[in-house]
Amino acid sequence: MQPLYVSPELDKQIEARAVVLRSEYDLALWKRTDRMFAVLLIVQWLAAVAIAVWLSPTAWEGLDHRIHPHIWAAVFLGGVIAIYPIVFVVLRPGETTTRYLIAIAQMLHSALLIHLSGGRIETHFHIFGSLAFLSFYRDWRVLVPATIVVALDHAVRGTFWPESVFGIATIAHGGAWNMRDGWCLRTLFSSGRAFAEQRNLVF
Amino acid sequence: MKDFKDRANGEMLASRKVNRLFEAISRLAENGVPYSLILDSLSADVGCMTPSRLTKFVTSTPSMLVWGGAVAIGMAGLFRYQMTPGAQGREAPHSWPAGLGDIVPKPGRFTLLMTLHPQCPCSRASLHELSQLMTRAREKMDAHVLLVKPQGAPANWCNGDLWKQAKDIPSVSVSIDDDGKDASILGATTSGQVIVYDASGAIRFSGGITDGRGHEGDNAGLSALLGLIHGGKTTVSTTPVYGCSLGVCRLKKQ
Repeated sequence: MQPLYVSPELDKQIEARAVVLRSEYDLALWKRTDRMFAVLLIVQWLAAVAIAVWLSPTAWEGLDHRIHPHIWAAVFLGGVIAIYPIVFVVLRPGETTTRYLIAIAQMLHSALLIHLSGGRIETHFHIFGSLAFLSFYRDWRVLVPATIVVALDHAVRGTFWPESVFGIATIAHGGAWNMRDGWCLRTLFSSGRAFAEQRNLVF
Repeated sequence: MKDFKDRANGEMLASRKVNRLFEAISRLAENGVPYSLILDSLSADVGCMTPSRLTKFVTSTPSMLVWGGAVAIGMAGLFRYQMTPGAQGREAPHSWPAGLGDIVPKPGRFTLLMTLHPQCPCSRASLHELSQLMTRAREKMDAHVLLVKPQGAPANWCNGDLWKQAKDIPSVSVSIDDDGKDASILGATTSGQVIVYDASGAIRFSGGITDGRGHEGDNAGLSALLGLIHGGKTTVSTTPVYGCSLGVCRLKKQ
């Protein structure tokens, strides 16, 4: 049996066609995932409002009460966090900037939900759930801004309000970093490696 | 080819992936593949989209910076609220005060008094921390939660979630502080204030046992109390109290 001969010219055309198909596939995947996140961002926004109303509806002073600041934060801050990336999903679907903004918004939602729930440990798992959801993009770079937001949140709060991160007023655990940042970085590296391996299968 | 790229670049908002698509097209064109064939291979998905002025404005870098700034300001405001302690009352009595009704210190044991606003949502975290404390200290300490009932409050003022939550903590007694009398004696003005006396009736700690308003987790107050009970020493004797105002002072003036 004679080996199949592919001329260099045809080989280039096949390669180019593969690139085109791959680009089409990626674009379709990113657009689809963008739409999924648009829905998720709205659901998270509503969840934040529901949590605020359920856990802390009113702030009190003796017999007087007023709407708790958490409700305003859930409605307005949660809205600002969610709406802007959704605008990008509508106007610029499938683009790199849209993915990055969604990644940032997801982590900001994590911070908001953790805050509204009173720092409950269960809510911290929203961070890891979000990283898993972001992996749907199959683009490891999306995890970079997400990880930076988490680390930055801890760094800023660790510097200005160390009690809110470490439970003590002084930083004595190697700066404004803690185990959660480490786990986020680990997730980032392992996901990046996984995507690289997946890409090698295609090209 | 240049014309094609210019036109396409103008019509599409190119991402890195789309740029790769153009590179592939360029390569094909340079190899003599007709444009009609190349374009046929592209799906309608990678079609043209002319961004409107509004789209350009909304998705521009300045608007992204405005969004980032708005979020940063909102987050900072939220954390500032969380880390702002309640009003500080006068100093708690240095020795066991008279007039606290049935509550009396037991020999050889610490006595913890916590004043709460029964409706304060932030105080859920204080009770959670008290529960953590009692799990590790109930052999050496008695705890009393005083739910402040201001004058003019409805009959069911104290029958809320905090009452149930406090009742569920082992070795903790819960009582109603009518008109905030006990809170006034203790100098407490903020919900979640904890005052600890030792067996001799000397004050050993006064402050909060959360690290922020309504925030659960390790905190200086809890660490100090655990140090006091298990080691006899405290790292700090006072901490900020995070919670709603009891309204005791205002009620006193009325």
